[in-house]
Formats: sequence, C-alpha cells, structure tokens
Amino acid sequence: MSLLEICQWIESTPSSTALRESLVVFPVIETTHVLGLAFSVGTILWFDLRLWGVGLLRYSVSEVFGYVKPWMFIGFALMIVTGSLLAWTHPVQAYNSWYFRTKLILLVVAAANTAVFHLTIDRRRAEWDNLPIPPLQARIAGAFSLLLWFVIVAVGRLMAYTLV
Amino acid sequence: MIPNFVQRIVEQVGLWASTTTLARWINNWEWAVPIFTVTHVFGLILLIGSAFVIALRCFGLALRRDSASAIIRAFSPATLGGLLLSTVSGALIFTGGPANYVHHRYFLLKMMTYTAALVTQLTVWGMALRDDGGERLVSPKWMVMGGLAFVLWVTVAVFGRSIAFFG
Repeated sequence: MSLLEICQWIESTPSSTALRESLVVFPVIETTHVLGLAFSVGTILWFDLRLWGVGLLRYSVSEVFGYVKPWMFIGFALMIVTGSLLAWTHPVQAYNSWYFRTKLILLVVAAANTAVFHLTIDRRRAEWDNLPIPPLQARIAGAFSLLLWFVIVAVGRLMAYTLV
Repeated sequence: MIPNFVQRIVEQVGLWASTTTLARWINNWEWAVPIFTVTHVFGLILLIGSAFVIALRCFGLALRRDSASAIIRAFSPATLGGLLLSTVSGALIFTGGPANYVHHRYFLLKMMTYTAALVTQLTVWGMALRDDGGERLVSPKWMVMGGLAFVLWVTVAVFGRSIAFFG
C-alpha cells in the first residue's frame, strides 16, 4: 500500500469526512492550531533571542528556559494534535502539497536542531549560563531555530492558498 | 450586538478603500493577499507572544527580578512591532476586498475588540512609563491590565480566524 493510498483510505474514513464537513469542529481545530502556534512560537522566540544574545540578557539561559518551557510544550502539544487532525481531514491534498512536504521536512530539521543543541553545547550550559552573549554554537542554534520557525509558519499559512 | 455606527464607519472606510490605487494593485497581484496574510500571522505571534510573557510577569509567574513596568517597557519594541505588522498587513488585506468584510459580523466584532485591545495596550504603556518600578512583586493593577491586554489580543485573533468560517 503506497503512502498516497493510505492518504486516500484516511480521507474515506467516516472520522475524516465528519471532521471535514463539520461546521463547528473544523473551525475550532483550525483556530486552536493558530493559537497553539502563537503560544509555542511566541514563547520559544524569547528563548531563541536569549540564546542569540539579543534579549532578556539580565536573566540566565536556564531561567528563561524555565519560564517559557511549560507554555512552549503546551503550545507544541496543541499544534501537533490540531495539526494532525487538520491533516486527517485533507490527507490527499496535504500529500500533493509541496508546502506541506516542505513544512514536514522543516519540522524534522527543527527537531534535529533542538536535539543537536541539547546533546552538545547545552550539556556545558553551566559554563555559559549567565553570560550575556552565549558561545557561538548556542547563538547559531538560537538564530537557526528562529529562521526555521519563520519559514515553517510561512509555508504552513501559504499551504491554505494551494488547497482546493 | 454590533452598534450601527460601527457598521457605518466600516462601510465608509471600505467604500473609500475599494476605490484606491492600492486596492487595484492588491487585486492585480495574486501573491499580495497570501504575503499579507503570512505577515499578519507573524505580527500576531509577536504580539500575543510578548503580551503573554508580560501577563506572566504581571501575575508574578516569570521574570520576577524586574518590576512589571520595567518588563512592559523592555518588551515594548516587540509588542509595538507585532502590533504594527498585524495592523498594517490587516489593513492591506481589508483594502484588497472590503466587500468581503464590511458586512461580516465577525469582522465587525474583531474591529470592536481590536479597538478595546488597542486602548488597553496604550493604557498599559502609559502606566508603565509613569511607574518608577518600585511596585510590589505582584500588584492588582498590573494583574488586571496585563491579563486584560492578553485576553483581548487573543480574542481579536479568535474573531479573526472566525471570519474565514462563520458569518
């Protein structure tokens, strides 16, 4: 069974049809997705700016991460759940959309960027936690994360204009 | 629920906007509205993200080393930047097709909430500028104002998304 056939099967399921044709549930899911985006990206932005060394310099990196972490995770959980439900409603269109494919690839790159950051420079955070300007690798991770989220949001929003 | 004068103001602005050169330019370029919409979302993220962190400080849940007024002042470039991005891009989206919006219940509700949020935000900035930063860790005035500004901006976003689905 190819990926396209799986998408076609998903689209034909009663749950996908019900969600797609719902006059209330679909808009609620879509609106929650946008609000989840505002919470997650809107809070990770401050952590990335601190890593970059351009904001909240009076606070250590750990402090800023501690403040934004719970809200960032809640926002990401909302985004993943609602994003999956949105894809469940239009799987074939999503499959055929280059914007959607780009978005998925960039989400994997963003996760890899986070993993690399935590597995490398972040292990020595105690050494640079209070420095106003963190080491170059941490600054690059912060700036790259910001850029990735900028593009992920853009392709996600542009995707709506390509779905018929 | 929506006062007549609000409807009349929006109609007049929409009628004027539809006759401008800018409206023709927006309608002749197919990428104009998608680009403005992406910019609108960026503005929203910046605005709601900074309003949220400010609200956390107002409730004593984050950045406690600085006073609420100092945090509001420090975040004002981001809040103002988000506000300008979303307002300008929103105005351009409206100019591209005022007929889609002038009679739309959720657009009118969005504009009313936007006005209330803007007045609240300006009040918050005014209070923060006058404050000497010597207030307590948590003060009722900042809990009310910081919380209200955040809730109003989120409501503006919810009404904004509702335009696409209801009405």
